[in-house]
This record gives sequence, structure tokens and C-alpha cells, in this order.
Amino acid sequence: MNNFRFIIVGFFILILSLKTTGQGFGTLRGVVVDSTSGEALAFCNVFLAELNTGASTDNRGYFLIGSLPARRGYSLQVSYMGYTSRTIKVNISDNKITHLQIKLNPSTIQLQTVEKIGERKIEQNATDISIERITIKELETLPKGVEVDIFRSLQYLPGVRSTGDVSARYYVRGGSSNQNLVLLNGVTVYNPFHALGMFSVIDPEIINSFEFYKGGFPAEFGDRLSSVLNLVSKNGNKYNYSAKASTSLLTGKLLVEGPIPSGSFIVSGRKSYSTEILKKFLNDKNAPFDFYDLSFKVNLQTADFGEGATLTLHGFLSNDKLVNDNPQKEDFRWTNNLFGLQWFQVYDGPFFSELNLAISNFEGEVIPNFSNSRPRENTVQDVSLDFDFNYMLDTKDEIKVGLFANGINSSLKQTSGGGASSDISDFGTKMGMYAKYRFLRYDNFGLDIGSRLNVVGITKAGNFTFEPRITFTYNILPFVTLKGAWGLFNQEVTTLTNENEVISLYEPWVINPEYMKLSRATHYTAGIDIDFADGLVLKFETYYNIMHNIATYNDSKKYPEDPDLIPATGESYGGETMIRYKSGPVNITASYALAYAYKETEDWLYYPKYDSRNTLNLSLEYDFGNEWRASAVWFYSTGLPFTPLIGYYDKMQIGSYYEQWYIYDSYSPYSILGDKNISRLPDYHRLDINLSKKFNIGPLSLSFDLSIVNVYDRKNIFYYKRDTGERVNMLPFLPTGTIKVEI
Amino acid sequence: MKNTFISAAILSLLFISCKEDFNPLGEYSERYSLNCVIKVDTSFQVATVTQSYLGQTTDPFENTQDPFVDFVYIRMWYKGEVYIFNDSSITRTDKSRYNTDIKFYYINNLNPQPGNDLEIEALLPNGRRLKSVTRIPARASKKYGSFENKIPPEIGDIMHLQWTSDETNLVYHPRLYIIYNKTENGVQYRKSVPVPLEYYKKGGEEIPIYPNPSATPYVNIKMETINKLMKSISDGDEEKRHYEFMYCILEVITYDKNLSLYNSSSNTVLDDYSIKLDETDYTNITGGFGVFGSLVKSTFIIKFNTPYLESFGYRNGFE
Repeated sequence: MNNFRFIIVGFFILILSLKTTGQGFGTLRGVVVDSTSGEALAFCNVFLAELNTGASTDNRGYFLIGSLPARRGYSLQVSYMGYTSRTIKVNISDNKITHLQIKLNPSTIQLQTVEKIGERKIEQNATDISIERITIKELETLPKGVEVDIFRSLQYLPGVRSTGDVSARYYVRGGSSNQNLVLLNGVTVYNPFHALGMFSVIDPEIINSFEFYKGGFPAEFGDRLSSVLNLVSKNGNKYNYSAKASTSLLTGKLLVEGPIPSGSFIVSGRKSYSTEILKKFLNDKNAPFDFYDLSFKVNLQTADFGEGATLTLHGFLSNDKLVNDNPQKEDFRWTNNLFGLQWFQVYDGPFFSELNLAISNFEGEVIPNFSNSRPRENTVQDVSLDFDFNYMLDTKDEIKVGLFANGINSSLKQTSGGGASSDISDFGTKMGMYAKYRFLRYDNFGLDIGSRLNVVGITKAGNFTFEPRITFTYNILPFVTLKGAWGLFNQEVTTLTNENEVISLYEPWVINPEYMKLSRATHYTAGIDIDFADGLVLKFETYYNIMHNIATYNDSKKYPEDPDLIPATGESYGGETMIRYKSGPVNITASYALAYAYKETEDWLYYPKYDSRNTLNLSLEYDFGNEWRASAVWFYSTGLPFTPLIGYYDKMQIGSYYEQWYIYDSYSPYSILGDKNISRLPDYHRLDINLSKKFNIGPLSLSFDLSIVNVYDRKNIFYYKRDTGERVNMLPFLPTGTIKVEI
Repeated sequence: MKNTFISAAILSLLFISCKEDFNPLGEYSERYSLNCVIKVDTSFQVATVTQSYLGQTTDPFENTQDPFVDFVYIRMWYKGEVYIFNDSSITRTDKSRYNTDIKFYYINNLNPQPGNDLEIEALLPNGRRLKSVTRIPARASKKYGSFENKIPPEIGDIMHLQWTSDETNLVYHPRLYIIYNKTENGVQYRKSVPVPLEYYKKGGEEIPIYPNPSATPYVNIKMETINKLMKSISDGDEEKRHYEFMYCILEVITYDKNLSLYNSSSNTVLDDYSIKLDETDYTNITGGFGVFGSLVKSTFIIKFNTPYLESFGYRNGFE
């Protein structure tokens, strides 16, 4: 504990001893927003042509360029996809921070204005290996299927797999789905799925931007071994009141936003109204799903909270119910409730801080009624307090430090397949800090070095552990960048779900029991980016991940005293390449991944269910102009592993003692399975297309969207029924449409 | 050139759209299963031995050859005595799958008592052995202070019937019966009717739901359900005094540990919507599949409150 205090005090002494800007130099800070709504534009490029330098905005729309020669004017070029680029004259004062608010006008011709001015220069020393930053504008160009879905869009990325187009669950570089961290405004979403995992609970309409880390994520993120999806929601229109209503074959949505004194608000709700379309996902099975999600955000920027302060209150609620009118069938419900308070402070110096207080609750329940279903009840209550501090030095280097504390209370009652009951309740408190130094002083070299220090872990095994991480970027040629990353990652919560469930209601979360050692992963990543002229970009990454003590569901648990979780080790490696070509209205992307994943439990080595050797993804987007857009995506992957049938035997069925049950006449076939996941399903491929059109009628802005999933009706196998051997296919040819009205 | 390219693209799409054949079958591996469930309330005990099969297709119902294994030498040990099973057969009524008689092995001179161990061994004609042991569970007993002694209960409108056992984590299958006499044409007949947990309406018809085997050592029955059944017993009959109610009998079947685990793994599901590719298959047979288990029945009498019976116009025959 004394060591921890020493580190904290030492850091603040260091900060106070640093000068903000040197003589003859100034700093440019700004925020880039949409001119019609005031909404922050994340990952937008700003470029100072005279100095051939620039920056990208963060997910709040902020950028900071330090050490600029003062007492002279510059031309600041600002560009963003879907907006008209601007050039602004700016004067930098000596030893001062010049603050700008830059408004960009949405372009009427969406894709043709995608000019990332100076992009190559800006990204030259960015330590951004294995990161995908996607804006909602980019998401809108992808085929939508039944609903626009952020999680499903991730599955188009190399290195990200799903086990079928029925599920939005994703697996990243050989990690399981419970090793993916999903953050909404910095708050963990424990069960981010509606309707058996078919859709994510996050409505894209409320999202401003998201970052997706496929591995090697920086020190500010923790508690997961595989990936991080960091979603930031919109702040709401600061200038005008507006409403959007849209409907798809599954849900109806309403979004209202507008200004309030000293700020803005946004409220959005989505509700299922018909589950008929879900029969396509469930092999014609009727499931009476009823779900909704509701989110809100209120932002206040007023002198009452201090100069440069923004106070944000946000919340997110999702609720799924599956209620049968037959008491011989089970009922289900699961809910997420998230609330957060953020205080973002921009200081006079080149630094800012953010304080987050958040609560994330998840509850899931299976109520068996009079069915043979096993009862299950899971609650997770997570309260967290984080303080992040970001400081930019004269040298352009950055220091980021954060303190975190959170308490998690988890409870799970369930019965295993072997009939043994489990009652796992635990409470854990986590406290610690992270610090990282971004070495950005050289234009052709960037280094991000940092570590998390968990002083108190959620479990005893997590006490006083370090998670060091390093990422570097080096430009060997102006258009060729080498990148690398290494890091250690901890995880102290897990789900108690059998990984052989291809569809599951929800994944119940628990704190790792005391008998489990700390789950740890090491990521090694290396890559090369080649930025050819004329919009052609080639990226290649290779990775090697090793995981120890992965908490894995013990499906053979027979007695209550048997452990619910057993340790496993995992290993994955592969290579991913992506070529992107953008020219005028055309955007072509091709990606290929070669991946190997292994898992070992109880001395048994096998391929996990999401291990796919080769995946290929081809996407074409075209802007016809006049608000007509089209896209097509073709996805191919070699078959996923499955366990073969090696026979059947007639299994005795225990009948009712009260209804003349004879053991010599009560048998039904039961499959005998071979070695786990030793065989492969046939290859998967699918073509999706999308056509959309926007137009205005008076004050109304209308959008029509037509998508066709699986254009050539490929019979991709999802799984085979183990009791009959019958194959069950994934989504068939499926035309869908959405209509959106904005006022 | 452009048209050629488009035509080639369409043709290639048509070509790859074909449904690809898929066979989930691996290499067949011969396995055997032994099943024997000892019932304490009889001396007639039955065992079966079957072998695994795999046809040309994945549909197991296409196998029409009875997998029963003949000429198996089955022995059972109980309190130092050995019992040797004989083979027999009965006529099969449902011939939708197998056209042969139902074959089985039996003994008719063993009536084991709770708390004792049993061992079974089956020697197959090919020399393979299947072995197992089990212990007859203790009878469930009334849990003091938690058993409603009379119908209706003194407090509340739910009959809470709880029992206990020497062992934990066993599965119980309870059923409550109403026992009554009905006089028809001067002759008294003893009748019993099972009490459901609940009724639910389906297509205008009320379907009774009875308790399933579960690890829950109690059953709760709403008085509303009992009242409905009590009333329905004499529906349409004006002569209520022809009905003499005796008592209720609660029967509790206790499964031993092996049968409890077997039941949980085979008679319960995670839920109706989750899809799992690999279910736990419990067996306590060394060298094969199946189960060697036992079950024992306990009975408890619950009396009726006379004013309660009289509220229906019935007589109490067990005061």
C-alpha cells in the first residue's frame, strides 16, 4: 500500500514540475462538431499544412497540437467523412493555448467528400495497432440485415468471428466471447444482447463513435483478456429539437433530442413489436420475445460547474422477456441497467481530466414453471469510480494516468447438466491505477508504454498485480509503417456458460471463485501498414496470444462440491491483411485472415468452436449521388469445428412411476459423440446487398433502406441436431427493409 | 467485356449457391449399455443390455434391428448372496421401430431393503464386462413442523408438504391422492384421484399438471386447486352424501444418488431455446453407458377436516 501512495504522490510531483509550454511556442486545442447538431465528430482529421503536422480528434471530438511556433498564422484543414472539409486561419499565441470550436457542415453528397487531408501525416506515429475506429456514418454504409447492429458489423473485420449469422456474439483472435469488454460511455455492459444473442442491445442510433481493440489494448482498459469495444453515445442536438422515428421488421424506434439551458439532451427507445422475422433465425421456431432498450444522456456546460467543465448524466436500460402462456414451458427475463455521471474538465494548461461514477446492474432469470428446464438466476451489481488525467508535454509526448475503484457483487444459482446445484455469491472490490507515457516527439516514431497496477483485486489472486503494455509505431518509409505491441492482461470475472451452446439465453456472470488462479493473457502483435497513393491502403498484422487459467465451465459437474469452473489454457495465432481502396464514390475493402486457435482443459487439447482457419471478406460501397447508396459484402470462411457422431445407443428414459413405467420398454436413441470438435463443417459463404435512399419532404427527412441477406440462398450449416443428425441451416435468402423519418 | 464479366459473376454465384453435402458421422465405435433400476416394493427386478448402432444415414430411427444383446450372463450381489438373471420376452405393442418381441433379463426373488448395497455385473458373449454398484436410498420421512396434518391448512391457502431424507441431492417424485368411497346402487367402491399442482387452460380445456421428479423436497398445492378437484369429483351428482372421503395419501418416490444424477442429466434441459451441441451423459456403468440405480416409495396420510368436507356436502369416513 505504501508503494501505491509513493507512486501517486510521485506522479503529481512530476506533473507539477513540468512546464506547460515553452517560450516561443503555443498550443492549439479544439473541438470539432457537427454544425447542425453540435454533436462531437470523433476521429476527425485536423492538419496544419504549414508544419505538415496534425492530429485526430478523440471520441469527444477534442484535439490538441502542442509545441507550435507562436506569433504566426496557420491554415488548419479539417476533414471528416460525410462532411464538407474546411480550412480555418488560426493564429498561435506565445505560451498560450488557442482554443477553437470548429463546425463542419454535413455534405449532401455523402461519400464523395471523404477526403482525409493529411491522413498519412497524421497517423504516422499513432500507436494504434489492432484498433478499428468506426463512425456511425461508416456503419450506415454496410448491409443492415434485419437491424443495423454494431456487433454484427464487427464480424466483417479480419480476426473477428461469429459461430453463425444467427448470433451477434463475436470471438476475437481465438478468445471466447466472455473475454470481450463492452463499454458504453465507459461503463461495462455485462449482457449486451437481445433475443438469444441475435442482436446487440446497443441501438446504433444513439452511438456517436466506437473504437474496437482486437488485442494489445492500452493500459486504460482492463478486466478482459481478448478485446475492447468502447462505445460513446451521442450528446444530443445542441441547437434544435428534433425527433426521429424508424421501423424495421422487428422493432420500432423513437429518438428525441434537443437543447436545454447550458447543454443538450437525447432520449432514445427501441421496442420489439413483432417476432415473426425471428422464425428465420430460429429454424421456424416461435419464440414470444418481448424486448426494449432505452437510453438517455444529458450534458451540461455551465460556469456553475467551473470553466471548461462538462457534466454528463447518462443511462441505459434494456429488458428482455420471453413469457409463454403455457405453464409447462419456462419463462425468461434479463435486464441491464446502467447509470453514469461524468465530469469532464478542460484546464487552462494542456491537460484535461475525467471523473466517472457509474453503476452497471445485470439480472437474468430462467423461471422453469412446470417444465423440465433448470432454474437459473444471476445478478451482477458493479459500482465503479474512475479518475483519468491526460497531460501533453512540450515535446508532444503525453502522460495519461488513471485511478480506478470498483465493487462487484455477483450471485448465481443454477443446476448443472449433471443435476448438481450451484449457489455462487461473491463480492469483490478492486482498486488500483494505470499510467502510460506516449512518446510522440518524433514524427516517424511513436511509443506507448504503460501499466495497470491492481493494488486490490476483485479476487485474492488479483491483488497487487501488474499489467504492463507497450505499443510502438515506426515509419521506415514515408508510406510504410511498422507496428508492434506486447501486453499482459488480467480477468477476474467470467461467465458460467458451456461453450458448446451455439445459442444461449444469456451468459451468467460470476466473480472467479477463490480456487481459480488469476486468468492472464499475453498478446504479441506485429504489423505493417502501407499507404499507397490514391486512396489505396494495405494493412497486415500478425499476432500470438497465450492465455492461462481461463475460467471454463465444468460441464461434467455431478455433485455440489465439484467445482463450477476449471482452468484452461488457450493459444491462438494468425495473420490478418486488409486492402482498402477509396476513390470518389467507390470504396472497396478486401480482408483475409489466417487463424489458429487451441484450447486445453484437463489435458485435452481441442479447437474451440469459433476456430476458423481462413476467412475472406470483400466489400464494395458505391455512392450513386443524389442520396442513393449501395453496398455489397461477400463473406467466406472455412468450416467451424464440430464433434462428429460415432453412433447411437438406446438410452433408458425414466418414466413416471405413477404411470406404469417399465424399464424394458422406455428407450429412445441417444447420440454418442466422437472427439470434441475434431471435424469441420462445410465452408461458409454469403452475399449481402443493400440499397438506401434519403430524401426530404418539407420538414421531414425520409430514409428507405432495403437489404437482402444471403442473396444466393447459400445453405450454410449452423449445426446438426445431435438427436437426429438433421442439419440446421443459418439464415436463408432474406429481404428486409427499414424506414426512418426525421423531423 | 463488361457483359462477359457480369455473366461470369452471376454464373459463379449460381455455382457456389448449391447446397453442400454434409455428413456429421464419424467412424462407428461399438459401445454397450446396461440398465437396471431396483424397485424396493417388488421382488421382480429387470435389467437390459443393448449395443450401439449407426446406420447409413444420420436418422437413428432408420435402424430397425433391435440392439438388445442376447446371452448376457448377469449376476447381482446382495448381502453376500448372488442372484443370476434369466432372460425373457413379452410381445411388443408399438412396432413402429422394432418388429421383434421386447427382450429383457429378470430375477423375481430379490426384495432389497433401504440402506443396503447392491452390485451388478454383466458378462457379454464377446467377453466384455459391464459393472456397477448402488445403494438403496432410505425412505423419505415427514419433516417435523413443516407438514400440513390436515386439509385445509390452519393458516394460509397452500398445502405445504415437505419431507426429508438421510441423503442430500436426491431426486423425489411426489404425488398426492385423494382417497374416497362412493356408493353406487348400494355398493361402496374405493376410489383414488391424483391431485394436480395446477390446472391450465388450453383450447377451453383444463389440463392438470402433476409434479415432475425434482430435487425439491416439498410440494406446494394451492387449496384453490384441491377445491376444484373436490368439487369436480361429484360434478353432476346431486347425491353428495354418497361420497365418503377417507384421507389423502402423499406418495414420494426417492431416487438413489445414481438415478438422481441420471434423471437430472437426461430428463432436464437447460431451457427450451438454448442450443447445446454436447449434453452431459451421466452413467455409473463401468465399461459402458446406462444406469444401475434404485428407488423407494414412502407414503404419508393426511386427514381431512370434517367441516371442510361438509362444505361440499361430503361425509368424513376417517374421523
